[in-house]
Amino acid sequence: MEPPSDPSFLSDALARLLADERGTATVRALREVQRAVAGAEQRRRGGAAGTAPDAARHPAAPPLHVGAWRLVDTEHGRGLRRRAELTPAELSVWADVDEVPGKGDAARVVLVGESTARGYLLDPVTNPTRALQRHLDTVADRRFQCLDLARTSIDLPDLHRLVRASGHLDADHLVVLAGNNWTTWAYELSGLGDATRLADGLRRDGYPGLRRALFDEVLNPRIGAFLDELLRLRDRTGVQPLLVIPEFNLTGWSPVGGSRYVDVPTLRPDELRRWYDLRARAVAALAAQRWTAVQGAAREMVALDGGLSPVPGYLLGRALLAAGDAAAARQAFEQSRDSLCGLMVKYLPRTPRMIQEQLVTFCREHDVPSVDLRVTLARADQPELPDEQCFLDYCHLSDVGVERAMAEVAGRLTGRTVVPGATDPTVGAWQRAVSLVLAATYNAFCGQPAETVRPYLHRAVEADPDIVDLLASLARLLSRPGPMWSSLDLPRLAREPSAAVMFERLGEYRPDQSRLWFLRQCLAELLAEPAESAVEVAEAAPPSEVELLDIATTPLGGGAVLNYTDPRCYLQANVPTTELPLGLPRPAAGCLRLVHRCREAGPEPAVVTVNGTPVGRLVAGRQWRTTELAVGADVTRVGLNTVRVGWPVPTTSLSDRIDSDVAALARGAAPYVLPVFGELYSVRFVPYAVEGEA
Amino acid sequence: MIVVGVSAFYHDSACAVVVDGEVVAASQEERYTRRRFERGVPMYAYRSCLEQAGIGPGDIDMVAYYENPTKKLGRQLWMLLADGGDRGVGELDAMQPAREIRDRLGYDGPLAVVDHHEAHAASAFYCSGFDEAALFTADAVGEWTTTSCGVGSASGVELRQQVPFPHSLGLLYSTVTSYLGFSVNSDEYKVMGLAAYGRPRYLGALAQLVLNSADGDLRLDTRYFRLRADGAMYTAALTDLLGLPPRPVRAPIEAVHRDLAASVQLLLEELLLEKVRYLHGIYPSDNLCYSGGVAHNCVANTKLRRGGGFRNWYVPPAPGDAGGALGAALLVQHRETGARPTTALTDARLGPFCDGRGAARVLHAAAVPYEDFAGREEALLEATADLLAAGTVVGWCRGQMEFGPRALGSRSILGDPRDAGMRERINRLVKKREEFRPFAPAVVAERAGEFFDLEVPSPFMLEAVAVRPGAGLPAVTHVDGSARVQTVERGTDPRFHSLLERFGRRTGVPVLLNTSFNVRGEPIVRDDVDALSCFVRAGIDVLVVGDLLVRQEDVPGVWREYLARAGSYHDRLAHNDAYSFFV
Ligand SMILES: [Fe+2]
Repeated sequence: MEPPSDPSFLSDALARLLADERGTATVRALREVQRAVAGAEQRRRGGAAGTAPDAARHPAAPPLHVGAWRLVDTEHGRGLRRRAELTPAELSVWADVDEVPGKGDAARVVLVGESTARGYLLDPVTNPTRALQRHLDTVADRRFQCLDLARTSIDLPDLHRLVRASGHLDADHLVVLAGNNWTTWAYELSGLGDATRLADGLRRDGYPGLRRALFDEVLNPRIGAFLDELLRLRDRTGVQPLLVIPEFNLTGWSPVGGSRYVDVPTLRPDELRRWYDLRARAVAALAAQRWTAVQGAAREMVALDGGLSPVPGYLLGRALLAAGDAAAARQAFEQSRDSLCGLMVKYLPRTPRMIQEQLVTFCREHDVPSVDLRVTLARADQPELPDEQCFLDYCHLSDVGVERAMAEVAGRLTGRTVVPGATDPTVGAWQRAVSLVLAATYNAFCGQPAETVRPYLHRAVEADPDIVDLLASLARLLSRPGPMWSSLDLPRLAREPSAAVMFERLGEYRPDQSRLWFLRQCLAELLAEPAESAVEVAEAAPPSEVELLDIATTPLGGGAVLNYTDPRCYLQANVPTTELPLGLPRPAAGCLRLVHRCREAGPEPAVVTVNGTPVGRLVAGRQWRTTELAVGADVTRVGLNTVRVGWPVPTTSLSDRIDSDVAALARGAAPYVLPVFGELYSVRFVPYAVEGEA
Repeated sequence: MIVVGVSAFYHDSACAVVVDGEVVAASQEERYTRRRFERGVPMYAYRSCLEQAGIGPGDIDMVAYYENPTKKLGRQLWMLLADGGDRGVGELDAMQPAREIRDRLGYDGPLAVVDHHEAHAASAFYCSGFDEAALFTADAVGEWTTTSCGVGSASGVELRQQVPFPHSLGLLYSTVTSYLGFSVNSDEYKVMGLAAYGRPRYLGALAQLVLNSADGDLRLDTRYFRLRADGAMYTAALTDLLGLPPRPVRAPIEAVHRDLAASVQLLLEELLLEKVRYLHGIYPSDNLCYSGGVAHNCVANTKLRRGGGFRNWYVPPAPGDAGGALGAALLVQHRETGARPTTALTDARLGPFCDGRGAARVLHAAAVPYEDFAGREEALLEATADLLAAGTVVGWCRGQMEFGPRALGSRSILGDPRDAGMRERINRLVKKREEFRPFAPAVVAERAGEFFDLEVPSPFMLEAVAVRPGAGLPAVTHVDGSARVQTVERGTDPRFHSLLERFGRRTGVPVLLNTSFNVRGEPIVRDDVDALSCFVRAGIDVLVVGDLLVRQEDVPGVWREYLARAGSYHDRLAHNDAYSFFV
């Protein structure tokens, strides 16, 4: 690689031509073409490229690895042994299985899937594979050997790879319990081709077009390829696939009232204003039990947002449910669940109807057995809707859910009727209660409102009243200062086998009041503790200056973005109200100092309230400015105080947003999608010095 | 005028704030994200620097970026096109710096771009306190340039001669680093440490890599180099030339490897010396300012200082790319307003302050005993000196964090340098590093000459000099009898100076073993909670954090067990939704 005599001259001239957005996209496209040409060339020469995306990623991987295991030959046939070379972090996401003996004369059932298949929040107390084995042992007249190859958050290409590798396992049945991570795989924009398809869809039809392109042109073919692999495997090895169609906790997950959820993507300013007016009307009507009014407002919202908001469907679902129309309620809840899926914003429900239907159609067309959890987990009284008792959150199953789902799978595998127990008989009352405490914690972390979190805690106490000791531990853990690992309650919590997965990871987590306050409040309420106990021990000292935006201390804090763009060092409010918790050991007068910016606002100011009482306004402007607002002691209280910034509806131009998102996609970056109401760099509460205190 | 400097998107991102010509704050992003050599936009360092400066984002007059993205793109395109190569040139996105500074830092005021080597040179010149100086920079590559020289004066920084990529001293050294089975861009100092054990018998062979080095120029024989970010940096031709196969990662280190390290070190020193002497010839100033990644090589530094022909010399505390943030800010400030620092920067403590109060809350809540020396500084220093003299290993986290790669008495692990077993002990606890890498001493500046053959201050630990015979400092003396010395002035860091003095009163040796406060593979601790965590995990005997003193035996066993287990699980700042956080 000899440089030209004056290397800077020509390349620099070229660089100047390419040093803008269009140039960046051009270079990216050229490199992609270069890569594609090289790949084709290699295939032509009989190389490995192109056989699968993984082949390129792990060219040297020996073929006889199956996930976290290595194939071993035993006297009773092929078995598995866990790969010693993997790190604890790598191993922790896979099913906790050391060794699998040869199957001998048993029929081998391999279960693959993601966290639901792993028994998230229940494992190792129980998990789907163990429940399946138990049912099979009970009903079958031959021996079955169930292999758990589930991996938490496995994505579509990895699942594809795993399924292909499982062809070496001499399996008789392959149970697939997956789907919730497939959409997010498509968000990774692994190739320019995909990004271009999305950009084209967005340019053509706005955000609905983006979503359609993601499903139809990116995800659908990839899922199709995965499903074809199942057929190929069946033809080649005789293994019978069985698909479990995932269900979602439609009534037990709320996109309204929690923290940091997306309301709606960017709309035209007048539409956005109208949309929020309607939202307020729908929420008020729901509270007043005026079901028809809710329906009217919600339907108009959907007409404005094109079905891209989870809010109207959810409100509509609640109203229809209250009005007794479960079938229509289901439709509305499903629309709510699916609204953000595929839109490249953060939202946890990610198995839309489109994926469920694709799986069902595949099974029907290819004579592949399936278990549809939409049926299996239905409520007895309203079979149109799933039974909340079967879930621990939006998609992970409770022991009740696991029991019912796996009984059905066992029935399908054996051709017999398997009657599930009311609960998993191997799960004791205490363990059930623990799983529900974990569910409460996880839902709180996911930003669910108190109304979602509270029932899990009550169910836990109902399951085993002794659980209050553990709840007290959890309350202390959440109110300690500093990182979680420093709490002496952490080992107590992590000692529960099923809790380790959560509390081991919580260890390095530093205080994040905003996300945990709901849980802390619910716990305080349940344990009937005074409000001040929810305030950090150290705050019992004279309150000092405190930053309410926790951007600098936690990845899940105020800076966490709601789309897949890279995090920022300031908060962009994508909803009209920014809520920030402030814990105080006693009422305190002080100054609220906000550093704010409002680049896309009209002339109206933002309004700041403390516990609902207005304390001042923020003047809109394109530049960062600092505003100091006096807060009287009478406005504050002991325990949780809430500072709210109510932003005016922004004047973001929809076409500008679309243009910039098309450009982002062209350079392989995530689109922004959302409106920006206002921006906060810092929100500090500075208490005035009280006489007699330092 | 307030200027914020930013370096990012290559290696060791950082932020710096300069107000009316004075350096107010600087820190590296890795300390916040806890990922070594973090390359992302320095959003945490930015917030921290602004907070230290007592300013908000609306107060910034200008942001200075440490590299010209269009020129960098030119070089990347050339690499891409010349090689038909695809990997190894990174993202080709000249808009990225401006875009991310606007979007992710939230700054949309004027943005000034400074050339990479200008930023390096400025970080040395403006911090040097010299009115005028000859300037010399050397690194792997920045835009097209690998080595540059020029002059600094009242009219600013002017680079007059530059060596173009791929003819690079940094890449030459890194190539041999890669050949020796170490990581490029981080393990070069291992090669430097290893060099002391070998004989430079490959010097003749390695010299063939250099076609021409006359008159400040440098031409490498590119047949031996494979300058791509993926895979090895050398070609088979180098193996043929050396007659020695590359050392596989983790293979035993043998005499030939030590000899190769010694050879590349000597070659580097000779080439540098040649350049600096040439520079002195054409710009016969008394003063030399030297910066760039190659200036981390403290063994070469001392030889250059002594043999380069200049009377005075200055290397900044962060000569690498992190320092580019500071250099860019200083240069832009000077260019815009004429303001520049009037005195030399001799104190690297430019980062956030640690007062230990966060640790106090944690310890208090967990009922862990600790001594609080608030308002009793003398007593704390006495107690610590007693402990050190008794052979205790002390984690020491106080005051403002250092800027640059070295811990200089604010985020340090300290030990008794007289104890030959101390090196082994600290290695076992925290560093787990190769036997051949020495620990460094900190010494009170006024007595440095008694123990070391050092005639100038070395406040940033950027010199390697001979330990005087009979100094009795086995824990900090390298196999060749040298040490990488930090001198501590009373006026600069009275607290650390006083600790050294007190240790000296007890032992006759005002010298401490001073190594960075971190465990292997992690960045240096930033705040008191990092310090507490590192102290517990590593099992260091005693922690002094702010005014608190904590003993390992008082730490609950569950903390240790928990941190030992959980440490490997996840990357703290890498997740931003609840789901990926927990799985
Ligand atoms: Fe550099």
